[in-house]
Amino acid sequence: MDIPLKHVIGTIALIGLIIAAGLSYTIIISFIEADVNKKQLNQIAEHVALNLVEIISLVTFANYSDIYAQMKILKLPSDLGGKAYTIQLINETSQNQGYYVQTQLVTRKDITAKSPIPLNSTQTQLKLITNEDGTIPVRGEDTKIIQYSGTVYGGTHDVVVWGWKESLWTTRAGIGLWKSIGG
Amino acid sequence: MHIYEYLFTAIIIVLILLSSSTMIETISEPSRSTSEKEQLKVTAQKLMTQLLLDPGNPPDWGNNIDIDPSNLTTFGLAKYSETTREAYVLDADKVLRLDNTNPLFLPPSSVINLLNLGYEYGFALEFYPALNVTIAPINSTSSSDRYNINVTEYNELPIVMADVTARMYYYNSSSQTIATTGAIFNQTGADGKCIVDFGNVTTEMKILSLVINYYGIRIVKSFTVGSNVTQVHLIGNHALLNQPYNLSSSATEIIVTKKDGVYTIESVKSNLNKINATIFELAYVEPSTVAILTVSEDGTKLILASKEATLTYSSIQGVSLSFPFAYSIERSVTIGGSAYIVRLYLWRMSW
Repeated sequence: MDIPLKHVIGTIALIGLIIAAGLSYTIIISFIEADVNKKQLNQIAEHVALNLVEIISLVTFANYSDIYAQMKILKLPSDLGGKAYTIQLINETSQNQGYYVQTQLVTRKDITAKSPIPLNSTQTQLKLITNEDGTIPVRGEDTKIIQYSGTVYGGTHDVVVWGWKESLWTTRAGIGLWKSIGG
Repeated sequence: MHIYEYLFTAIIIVLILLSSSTMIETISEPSRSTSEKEQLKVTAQKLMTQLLLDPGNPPDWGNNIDIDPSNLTTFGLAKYSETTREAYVLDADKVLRLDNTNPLFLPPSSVINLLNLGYEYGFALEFYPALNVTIAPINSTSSSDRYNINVTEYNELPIVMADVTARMYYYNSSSQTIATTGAIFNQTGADGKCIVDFGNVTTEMKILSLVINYYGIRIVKSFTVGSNVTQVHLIGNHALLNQPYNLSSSATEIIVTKKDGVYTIESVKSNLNKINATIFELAYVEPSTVAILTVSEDGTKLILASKEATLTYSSIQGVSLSFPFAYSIERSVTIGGSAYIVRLYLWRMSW
Protein backbone atom coordinates (compact mmCIF):
# COMPACT_ATOMS: atom_id res chain seq x y z
CA MET A 1 0.00 0.00 0.00
CA ASP A 2 1.50 3.24 -1.14
CA ILE A 3 1.19 6.12 1.25
CA PRO A 4 1.85 9.50 -0.25
CA LEU A 5 4.72 11.40 1.37
CA LYS A 6 2.47 14.36 2.17
CA HIS A 7 0.34 12.10 4.44
CA VAL A 8 3.40 10.88 6.32
CA ILE A 9 4.60 14.46 6.84
CA GLY A 10 1.10 15.63 7.78
CA THR A 11 0.53 12.83 10.29
CA ILE A 12 3.95 13.32 11.89
CA ALA A 13 3.32 17.09 12.08
CA LEU A 14 -0.06 16.49 13.71
CA ILE A 15 1.40 14.07 16.25
CA GLY A 16 4.16 16.62 16.98
CA LEU A 17 1.59 19.34 17.39
CA ILE A 18 -0.48 17.23 19.79
CA ILE A 19 2.61 16.51 21.90
CA ALA A 20 3.60 20.21 21.86
CA ALA A 21 0.04 21.21 22.81
CA GLY A 22 0.07 18.68 25.66
CA LEU A 23 3.40 20.01 26.92
CA SER A 24 2.23 23.63 26.64
CA TYR A 25 -0.93 22.75 28.50
CA THR A 26 1.08 21.08 31.28
CA ILE A 27 3.39 24.10 31.52
CA ILE A 28 0.45 26.52 31.68
CA ILE A 29 -1.33 24.42 34.30
CA SER A 30 1.90 24.16 36.29
CA PHE A 31 2.35 27.92 36.14
CA ILE A 32 -1.23 28.57 37.30
CA GLU A 33 -0.88 25.95 40.03
CA ALA A 34 2.34 27.61 41.23
CA ASP A 35 0.57 30.96 41.25
CA VAL A 36 -2.32 29.54 43.32
CA ASN A 37 0.13 27.86 45.68
CA LYS A 38 1.99 31.13 46.10
CA LYS A 39 -1.25 32.91 46.98
CA GLN A 40 -2.05 30.21 49.54
CA LEU A 41 1.44 30.46 51.01
CA ASN A 42 1.01 34.21 51.17
CA GLN A 43 -2.23 33.82 53.11
CA ILE A 44 -0.58 31.41 55.54
CA ALA A 45 2.40 33.76 56.02
CA GLU A 46 0.06 36.71 56.67
CA HIS A 47 -2.00 34.65 59.12
CA VAL A 48 1.08 33.57 61.07
CA ALA A 49 2.51 37.13 61.07
CA LEU A 50 -0.81 38.62 62.26
CA ASN A 51 -1.08 36.13 65.12
CA LEU A 52 2.54 36.66 66.07
CA VAL A 53 2.05 40.45 66.22
CA GLU A 54 -1.10 39.95 68.30
CA ILE A 55 0.57 37.63 70.82
CA ILE A 56 3.52 40.06 71.07
CA SER A 57 1.08 42.91 71.82
CA LEU A 58 -0.67 40.79 74.43
CA VAL A 59 2.58 39.82 76.17
CA THR A 60 4.04 43.34 75.95
CA PHE A 61 0.83 44.64 77.51
CA ALA A 62 1.53 42.76 80.71
CA ASN A 63 3.91 44.86 82.75
CA TYR A 64 5.33 41.95 84.70
CA SER A 65 7.80 39.18 83.92
CA ASP A 66 6.83 35.53 84.08
CA ILE A 67 8.45 32.13 83.77
CA TYR A 68 5.65 30.96 81.49
CA ALA A 69 4.92 31.86 77.90
CA GLN A 70 1.63 32.87 76.28
CA MET A 71 0.77 31.06 73.09
CA LYS A 72 -1.87 30.58 70.45
CA ILE A 73 -2.42 27.42 68.44
CA LEU A 74 -2.82 28.19 64.73
CA LYS A 75 -5.23 26.34 62.50
CA LEU A 76 -3.24 25.84 59.31
CA PRO A 77 -3.75 23.51 56.34
CA SER A 78 -1.73 20.31 56.67
CA ASP A 79 -0.56 20.59 53.04
CA LEU A 80 -1.16 22.60 49.88
CA GLY A 81 -2.65 20.31 47.28
CA GLY A 82 -0.68 17.38 48.68
CA LYS A 83 2.55 19.38 48.93
CA ALA A 84 4.27 19.96 52.27
CA TYR A 85 5.41 23.46 53.23
CA THR A 86 7.60 25.12 55.85
CA ILE A 87 7.10 28.23 57.95
CA GLN A 88 10.20 30.20 58.84
CA LEU A 89 10.82 33.27 60.96
CA ILE A 90 13.64 35.19 59.33
CA ASN A 91 15.77 38.07 60.58
CA GLU A 92 17.23 40.22 57.84
CA THR A 93 17.53 43.46 59.78
CA SER A 94 21.19 43.66 58.72
CA GLN A 95 20.03 43.91 55.08
CA ASN A 96 17.28 46.38 56.13
CA GLN A 97 14.65 43.78 55.28
CA GLY A 98 13.54 43.48 58.89
CA TYR A 99 11.89 40.42 60.35
CA TYR A 100 9.44 38.43 58.28
CA VAL A 101 7.54 35.16 58.15
CA GLN A 102 8.43 33.08 55.11
CA THR A 103 6.44 30.13 53.83
CA GLN A 104 7.87 27.79 51.22
CA LEU A 105 6.95 24.58 49.45
CA VAL A 106 9.31 21.80 50.50
CA THR A 107 9.53 20.34 46.99
CA ARG A 108 9.78 23.65 45.16
CA LYS A 109 11.97 26.19 46.87
CA ASP A 110 11.13 28.75 44.19
CA ILE A 111 7.51 28.91 45.35
CA THR A 112 7.78 31.08 48.40
CA ALA A 113 5.88 33.90 50.10
CA LYS A 114 6.71 36.29 52.88
CA SER A 115 4.91 38.59 55.24
CA PRO A 116 6.79 41.31 57.10
CA ILE A 117 6.64 41.70 60.88
CA PRO A 118 6.42 45.44 61.71
CA LEU A 119 9.86 45.35 63.33
CA ASN A 120 13.06 46.40 61.65
CA SER A 121 15.64 46.57 64.39
CA THR A 122 17.40 44.26 66.81
CA GLN A 123 17.91 47.15 69.28
CA THR A 124 14.51 46.67 70.89
CA GLN A 125 13.06 45.03 73.96
CA LEU A 126 11.50 42.42 71.69
CA LYS A 127 13.69 39.48 70.66
CA LEU A 128 12.24 37.30 67.92
CA ILE A 129 13.69 33.77 67.96
CA THR A 130 14.78 32.98 64.41
CA ASN A 131 17.61 30.46 64.72
CA GLU A 132 17.42 28.80 68.11
CA ASP A 133 15.69 25.64 69.26
CA GLY A 134 14.42 24.99 72.74
CA THR A 135 11.42 24.45 74.95
CA ILE A 136 9.33 26.73 77.10
CA PRO A 137 6.51 25.85 79.51
CA VAL A 138 2.97 27.20 79.56
CA ARG A 139 1.10 27.92 82.82
CA GLY A 140 -1.24 25.17 83.95
CA GLU A 141 0.01 22.59 81.45
CA ASP A 142 2.03 19.65 82.76
CA THR A 143 1.82 17.28 79.80
CA LYS A 144 2.60 19.61 76.92
CA ILE A 145 5.28 22.16 76.17
CA ILE A 146 6.16 24.64 73.45
CA GLN A 147 9.06 23.41 71.35
CA TYR A 148 10.25 26.57 69.64
CA SER A 149 12.30 26.80 66.49
CA GLY A 150 12.99 29.22 63.67
CA THR A 151 11.51 26.78 61.16
CA VAL A 152 8.48 24.51 61.48
CA TYR A 153 6.75 22.21 59.00
CA GLY A 154 3.29 23.42 58.08
CA GLY A 155 2.02 19.87 57.92
CA THR A 156 2.83 19.36 61.57
CA HIS A 157 -0.18 19.62 63.82
CA ASP A 158 -0.44 22.36 66.42
CA VAL A 159 1.84 25.05 65.07
CA VAL A 160 1.90 27.87 67.64
CA VAL A 161 2.98 31.47 67.95
CA TRP A 162 4.27 32.32 71.41
CA GLY A 163 5.49 35.25 73.45
CA TRP A 164 7.30 35.36 76.75
CA LYS A 165 7.98 38.37 78.96
CA GLU A 166 11.35 37.22 80.21
CA SER A 167 12.01 40.38 82.21
CA LEU A 168 10.63 43.91 82.32
CA TRP A 169 13.07 44.83 79.56
CA THR A 170 13.02 41.72 77.40
CA THR A 171 10.20 40.00 75.57
CA ARG A 172 10.88 36.90 73.51
CA ALA A 173 8.57 35.64 70.80
CA GLY A 174 8.55 33.21 67.94
CA ILE A 175 6.97 30.19 66.31
CA GLY A 176 7.03 26.58 67.42
CA LEU A 177 5.11 23.39 68.02
CA TRP A 178 2.77 22.45 70.84
CA LYS A 179 4.03 18.99 71.77
CA SER A 180 3.67 16.41 74.48
CA ILE A 181 6.54 16.35 76.95
CA GLY A 182 8.92 13.59 75.88
CA GLY A 183 6.92 12.92 72.72
CA MET B 1 -6.85 13.64 3.14
CA HIS B 2 -5.83 16.93 1.60
CA ILE B 3 -3.24 19.31 2.93
CA TYR B 4 -5.89 21.82 4.09
CA GLU B 5 -7.49 19.13 6.24
CA TYR B 6 -4.20 18.72 8.14
CA LEU B 7 -4.01 22.47 8.54
CA PHE B 8 -7.61 22.58 9.75
CA THR B 9 -6.91 19.84 12.33
CA ALA B 10 -3.81 21.73 13.52
CA ILE B 11 -5.81 24.94 13.92
CA ILE B 12 -8.45 23.08 15.95
CA ILE B 13 -5.76 21.60 18.24
CA VAL B 14 -4.21 25.03 18.80
CA LEU B 15 -7.65 26.55 19.45
CA ILE B 16 -8.50 23.83 21.98
CA LEU B 17 -5.18 24.52 23.76
CA LEU B 18 -5.75 28.29 23.83
CA SER B 19 -9.39 28.09 24.94
CA SER B 20 -8.73 25.56 27.71
CA SER B 21 -5.81 27.66 29.02
CA THR B 22 -7.96 30.80 28.98
CA MET B 23 -10.79 28.97 30.74
CA ILE B 24 -8.51 27.71 33.51
CA GLU B 25 -7.02 31.17 33.91
CA THR B 26 -10.50 32.77 34.01
CA ILE B 27 -11.91 30.21 36.46
CA SER B 28 -9.06 30.68 38.96
CA GLU B 29 -8.98 34.49 38.63
CA PRO B 30 -11.87 35.39 41.03
CA SER B 31 -10.47 33.22 43.82
CA ARG B 32 -7.00 34.69 43.33
CA SER B 33 -8.38 38.23 43.29
CA THR B 34 -10.35 37.58 46.50
CA SER B 35 -7.24 36.10 48.04
CA GLU B 36 -5.26 39.28 47.30
CA LYS B 37 -7.92 41.46 48.92
CA GLU B 38 -8.15 39.11 51.89
CA GLN B 39 -4.39 39.29 52.26
CA LEU B 40 -4.50 43.11 52.27
CA LYS B 41 -7.13 42.89 55.02
CA VAL B 42 -4.92 40.67 57.18
CA THR B 43 -1.92 42.96 56.61
CA ALA B 44 -4.05 45.97 57.61
CA GLN B 45 -5.15 44.20 60.80
CA LYS B 46 -1.54 43.32 61.61
CA LEU B 47 -0.47 46.92 61.07
CA MET B 48 -3.37 48.29 63.12
CA THR B 49 -2.45 45.97 66.03
CA GLN B 50 1.12 47.23 65.94
CA LEU B 51 0.11 50.90 65.67
CA LEU B 52 -2.55 50.94 68.37
CA LEU B 53 -1.27 48.43 70.93
CA ASP B 54 2.49 48.89 70.83
CA PRO B 55 4.05 51.95 72.52
CA GLY B 56 7.11 51.87 70.27
CA ASN B 57 10.68 51.91 71.43
CA PRO B 58 11.84 53.93 73.30
CA PRO B 59 8.36 53.96 74.87
CA ASP B 60 8.55 57.70 75.67
CA TRP B 61 9.41 58.70 72.10
CA GLY B 62 6.35 60.95 71.92
CA ASN B 63 7.12 63.45 74.67
CA ASN B 64 10.90 63.17 74.58
CA ILE B 65 11.93 65.91 72.16
CA ASP B 66 15.49 64.54 71.97
CA ILE B 67 14.26 61.41 70.20
CA ASP B 68 14.27 61.69 66.44
CA PRO B 69 13.68 59.02 63.75
CA SER B 70 17.33 57.90 63.93
CA ASN B 71 17.02 56.62 67.51
CA LEU B 72 13.50 55.24 67.22
CA THR B 73 13.68 51.44 66.84
CA THR B 74 10.01 50.42 66.92
CA PHE B 75 6.97 52.41 65.87
CA GLY B 76 3.72 52.32 67.85
CA LEU B 77 1.30 54.92 69.15
CA ALA B 78 -0.01 53.31 72.36
CA LYS B 79 0.35 55.19 75.61
CA TYR B 80 3.04 53.70 77.81
CA SER B 81 2.78 53.39 81.55
CA GLU B 82 5.00 51.65 84.07
CA THR B 83 1.94 50.41 85.96
CA THR B 84 -1.49 49.78 84.47
CA ARG B 85 -2.21 50.05 80.77
CA GLU B 86 -5.43 50.21 78.79
CA ALA B 87 -5.98 48.88 75.29
CA TYR B 88 -6.57 51.38 72.49
CA VAL B 89 -5.43 54.36 74.57
CA LEU B 90 -3.02 56.36 72.44
CA ASP B 91 -0.35 58.82 73.48
CA ALA B 92 -1.39 62.30 72.32
CA ASP B 93 2.24 63.38 71.95
CA LYS B 94 3.01 60.45 69.65
CA VAL B 95 -0.03 61.19 67.49
CA LEU B 96 0.78 64.92 67.36
CA ARG B 97 4.23 64.11 66.01
CA LEU B 98 2.47 62.80 62.89
CA ASP B 99 1.20 66.31 62.15
CA ASN B 100 3.29 67.67 59.29
CA THR B 101 3.16 71.21 60.70
CA ASN B 102 4.81 70.02 63.91
CA PRO B 103 8.54 70.82 64.11
CA LEU B 104 9.08 67.28 65.51
CA PHE B 105 7.20 65.70 62.61
CA LEU B 106 8.10 62.07 61.99
CA PRO B 107 8.62 61.59 58.23
CA PRO B 108 6.57 58.78 56.61
CA SER B 109 9.72 57.25 55.10
CA SER B 110 11.01 56.55 58.65
CA VAL B 111 7.69 55.07 59.72
CA ILE B 112 7.55 52.85 56.62
CA ASN B 113 11.04 51.61 57.42
CA LEU B 114 10.22 51.00 61.10
CA LEU B 115 7.04 49.15 60.16
CA ASN B 116 9.04 47.08 57.70
CA LEU B 117 6.67 47.86 54.82
CA GLY B 118 9.42 48.40 52.25
CA TYR B 119 8.27 49.51 48.84
CA GLU B 120 5.42 47.01 48.80
CA TYR B 121 2.72 48.94 50.64
CA GLY B 122 1.50 52.49 51.05
CA PHE B 123 -0.66 53.63 53.94
CA ALA B 124 -2.56 56.58 55.36
CA LEU B 125 -3.80 57.18 58.88
CA GLU B 126 -6.72 59.40 59.68
CA PHE B 127 -7.49 60.60 63.22
CA TYR B 128 -10.74 62.41 63.89
CA PRO B 129 -13.03 62.97 66.93
CA ALA B 130 -15.82 60.46 67.46
CA LEU B 131 -18.37 63.29 67.25
CA ASN B 132 -18.40 66.23 64.89
CA VAL B 133 -18.51 69.46 66.92
CA THR B 134 -18.80 72.82 65.20
CA ILE B 135 -19.47 76.32 66.50
CA ALA B 136 -21.00 79.36 64.83
CA PRO B 137 -21.16 82.86 66.32
CA ILE B 138 -24.65 84.32 66.70
CA ASN B 139 -24.34 87.94 65.65
CA SER B 140 -27.43 89.37 67.31
CA THR B 141 -25.33 92.34 68.37
CA SER B 142 -21.73 92.97 67.51
CA SER B 143 -20.74 93.18 71.16
CA SER B 144 -22.01 89.78 72.24
CA ASP B 145 -20.24 86.49 72.57
CA ARG B 146 -23.00 83.98 71.85
CA TYR B 147 -22.25 80.78 70.00
CA ASN B 148 -24.32 78.03 68.52
CA ILE B 149 -22.78 74.63 69.33
CA ASN B 150 -23.70 71.90 66.88
CA VAL B 151 -22.96 68.27 67.74
CA THR B 152 -23.54 65.65 65.05
CA GLU B 153 -22.18 62.34 64.03
CA TYR B 154 -20.45 62.14 60.66
CA ASN B 155 -23.61 61.39 58.69
CA GLU B 156 -24.98 64.73 59.93
CA LEU B 157 -27.42 63.04 62.31
CA PRO B 158 -27.85 65.27 65.39
CA ILE B 159 -26.56 64.13 68.77
CA VAL B 160 -29.39 64.79 71.20
CA MET B 161 -28.94 65.45 74.94
CA ALA B 162 -25.17 65.67 74.86
CA ASP B 163 -23.80 67.53 77.89
CA VAL B 164 -21.89 70.64 76.85
CA THR B 165 -19.46 72.45 79.13
CA ALA B 166 -18.00 75.67 77.75
CA ARG B 167 -15.60 78.27 79.06
CA MET B 168 -13.97 81.22 77.37
CA TYR B 169 -10.36 82.22 78.04
CA TYR B 170 -9.13 85.64 77.03
CA TYR B 171 -6.27 88.04 77.57
CA ASN B 172 -7.13 90.88 79.92
CA SER B 173 -4.83 93.69 78.80
CA SER B 174 -5.48 95.89 81.84
CA SER B 175 -4.41 93.23 84.36
CA GLN B 176 -2.05 91.63 81.78
CA THR B 177 -3.26 88.16 82.69
CA ILE B 178 -5.19 85.37 81.01
CA ALA B 179 -8.68 85.57 82.43
CA THR B 180 -11.70 83.33 82.10
CA THR B 181 -15.44 83.61 82.05
CA GLY B 182 -17.57 81.38 84.22
CA ALA B 183 -18.24 77.84 82.98
CA ILE B 184 -21.49 77.36 81.07
CA PHE B 185 -23.34 74.04 81.21
CA ASN B 186 -25.94 73.18 78.62
CA GLN B 187 -27.40 70.24 76.73
CA THR B 188 -28.00 69.79 73.01
CA GLY B 189 -31.61 69.76 71.85
CA ALA B 190 -33.45 67.60 69.33
CA ASP B 191 -31.51 69.29 66.50
CA GLY B 192 -28.16 68.55 68.19
CA LYS B 193 -27.65 72.25 68.90
CA CYS B 194 -27.41 74.49 71.93
CA ILE B 195 -26.39 78.07 72.63
CA VAL B 196 -23.67 79.27 74.97
CA ASP B 197 -23.65 82.94 75.91
CA PHE B 198 -20.58 84.57 77.48
CA GLY B 199 -21.96 88.12 77.45
CA ASN B 200 -19.44 90.53 76.02
CA VAL B 201 -15.72 89.75 75.93
CA THR B 202 -14.24 92.78 74.18
CA THR B 203 -10.95 91.44 72.88
CA GLU B 204 -9.78 89.51 69.86
CA MET B 205 -7.38 87.48 72.00
CA LYS B 206 -9.81 84.81 73.12
CA ILE B 207 -10.50 81.10 72.74
CA LEU B 208 -13.50 78.94 73.51
CA SER B 209 -12.92 75.62 75.30
CA LEU B 210 -15.59 72.96 75.01
CA VAL B 211 -16.17 69.56 76.52
CA ILE B 212 -18.91 67.41 75.04
CA ASN B 213 -20.01 64.34 76.95
CA TYR B 214 -22.43 61.99 75.27
CA TYR B 215 -23.01 58.96 77.49
CA GLY B 216 -19.30 58.61 78.22
CA ILE B 217 -18.00 59.66 74.80
CA ARG B 218 -15.91 62.71 75.65
CA ILE B 219 -14.80 65.26 73.08
CA VAL B 220 -12.59 68.22 73.99
CA LYS B 221 -12.22 71.10 71.54
CA SER B 222 -10.58 74.50 71.67
CA PHE B 223 -11.79 77.04 69.13
CA THR B 224 -9.92 80.23 68.31
CA VAL B 225 -12.80 82.69 68.33
CA GLY B 226 -10.64 85.82 68.38
CA SER B 227 -8.52 86.99 65.46
CA ASN B 228 -5.33 87.60 67.50
CA VAL B 229 -4.68 83.98 68.40
CA THR B 230 -1.71 81.96 67.15
CA GLN B 231 -1.57 78.18 67.40
CA VAL B 232 1.65 76.45 68.37
CA HIS B 233 2.43 72.82 69.24
CA LEU B 234 2.46 71.15 72.63
CA ILE B 235 4.66 68.05 72.93
CA GLY B 236 5.19 66.70 76.43
CA ASN B 237 6.09 69.73 78.51
CA HIS B 238 7.41 71.70 75.57
CA ALA B 239 5.73 74.37 73.49
CA LEU B 240 7.14 74.28 69.97
CA LEU B 241 6.85 77.27 67.68
CA ASN B 242 7.14 77.27 63.91
CA GLN B 243 8.54 80.81 64.00
CA PRO B 244 10.41 82.66 66.76
CA TYR B 245 8.27 84.49 69.32
CA ASN B 246 9.12 86.01 72.64
CA LEU B 247 6.60 84.54 75.06
CA SER B 248 5.52 85.50 78.54
CA SER B 249 7.17 83.50 81.34
CA SER B 250 3.77 82.35 82.60
CA ALA B 251 1.33 79.93 80.99
CA THR B 252 -2.22 78.84 81.77
CA GLU B 253 -2.94 75.12 81.51
CA ILE B 254 -6.52 74.26 80.62
CA ILE B 255 -7.49 71.05 82.35
CA VAL B 256 -10.65 68.98 82.14
CA THR B 257 -11.85 67.22 85.27
CA LYS B 258 -14.97 65.32 86.22
CA LYS B 259 -16.77 66.35 89.40
CA ASP B 260 -19.96 64.62 90.53
CA GLY B 261 -20.41 63.10 87.10
CA VAL B 262 -20.12 66.46 85.30
CA TYR B 263 -17.13 67.60 83.26
CA THR B 264 -15.70 70.96 84.22
CA ILE B 265 -13.00 73.08 82.62
CA GLU B 266 -10.46 74.49 85.05
CA SER B 267 -7.07 76.09 84.72
CA VAL B 268 -3.78 76.17 86.57
CA LYS B 269 -0.75 78.43 86.17
CA SER B 270 2.67 77.17 85.20
CA ASN B 271 6.05 78.73 84.47
CA LEU B 272 7.34 78.83 80.94
CA ASN B 273 11.10 78.82 80.38
CA LYS B 274 12.75 79.68 77.10
CA ILE B 275 15.04 76.93 75.74
CA ASN B 276 15.71 78.62 72.42
CA ALA B 277 13.88 80.92 69.99
CA THR B 278 11.29 78.29 69.07
CA ILE B 279 11.20 75.92 72.06
CA PHE B 280 9.77 76.77 75.49
CA GLU B 281 9.58 74.43 78.44
CA LEU B 282 6.74 74.27 80.95
CA ALA B 283 7.78 73.68 84.54
CA TYR B 284 5.03 71.07 84.94
CA VAL B 285 2.19 69.76 82.82
CA GLU B 286 -0.88 68.31 84.54
CA PRO B 287 -1.83 64.85 83.17
CA SER B 288 -5.32 66.13 82.32
CA THR B 289 -4.08 69.23 80.47
CA VAL B 290 -5.83 69.60 77.13
CA ALA B 291 -4.26 72.90 76.05
CA ILE B 292 -2.01 75.67 77.26
CA LEU B 293 -2.37 79.40 76.79
CA THR B 294 0.20 82.14 77.00
CA VAL B 295 0.76 85.54 75.43
CA SER B 296 3.51 87.04 73.36
CA GLU B 297 5.85 89.21 75.42
CA ASP B 298 4.52 92.41 73.80
CA GLY B 299 0.96 91.37 74.72
CA THR B 300 -0.37 91.45 71.16
CA LYS B 301 -0.95 87.72 70.53
CA LEU B 302 -2.64 85.00 72.49
CA ILE B 303 -0.74 81.73 72.01
CA LEU B 304 -2.69 78.46 72.08
CA ALA B 305 -1.10 75.01 72.13
CA SER B 306 -3.67 72.25 72.07
CA LYS B 307 -3.50 68.47 72.42
CA GLU B 308 -6.21 67.96 69.80
CA ALA B 309 -5.19 65.27 67.36
CA THR B 310 -7.31 65.69 64.23
CA LEU B 311 -4.95 64.92 61.38
CA THR B 312 -4.14 62.79 58.36
CA TYR B 313 -0.79 61.11 57.93
CA SER B 314 0.06 59.50 54.63
CA SER B 315 3.02 57.73 53.09
CA ILE B 316 2.28 59.77 49.96
CA GLN B 317 2.18 63.32 51.20
CA GLY B 318 -0.36 65.68 49.70
CA VAL B 319 -2.59 62.94 48.31
CA SER B 320 -6.24 63.18 49.32
CA LEU B 321 -7.82 60.19 51.02
CA SER B 322 -9.53 58.60 48.04
CA PHE B 323 -7.68 55.41 47.37
CA PRO B 324 -9.65 53.22 44.99
CA PHE B 325 -7.60 50.08 45.69
CA ALA B 326 -7.05 50.65 49.40
CA TYR B 327 -8.41 48.49 52.18
CA SER B 328 -9.58 50.57 55.12
CA ILE B 329 -10.04 49.52 58.73
CA GLU B 330 -11.07 51.68 61.66
CA ARG B 331 -10.96 51.51 65.45
CA SER B 332 -12.30 53.61 68.32
CA VAL B 333 -9.49 54.90 70.50
CA THR B 334 -8.92 57.35 73.33
CA ILE B 335 -6.40 60.14 72.89
CA GLY B 336 -5.82 62.44 75.85
CA GLY B 337 -9.13 61.33 77.38
CA SER B 338 -11.13 62.18 74.23
CA ALA B 339 -12.81 59.66 71.97
CA TYR B 340 -11.36 59.45 68.48
CA ILE B 341 -11.71 57.27 65.42
CA VAL B 342 -8.54 56.02 63.76
CA ARG B 343 -8.87 54.87 60.19
CA LEU B 344 -6.06 53.07 58.40
CA TYR B 345 -5.94 52.89 54.60
CA LEU B 346 -3.56 50.32 53.21
CA TRP B 347 -2.80 49.69 49.58
CA ARG B 348 -0.31 47.79 47.52
CA MET B 349 2.15 49.83 45.52
CA SER B 350 1.95 47.13 42.83
CA TRP B 351 -0.29 44.12 42.26
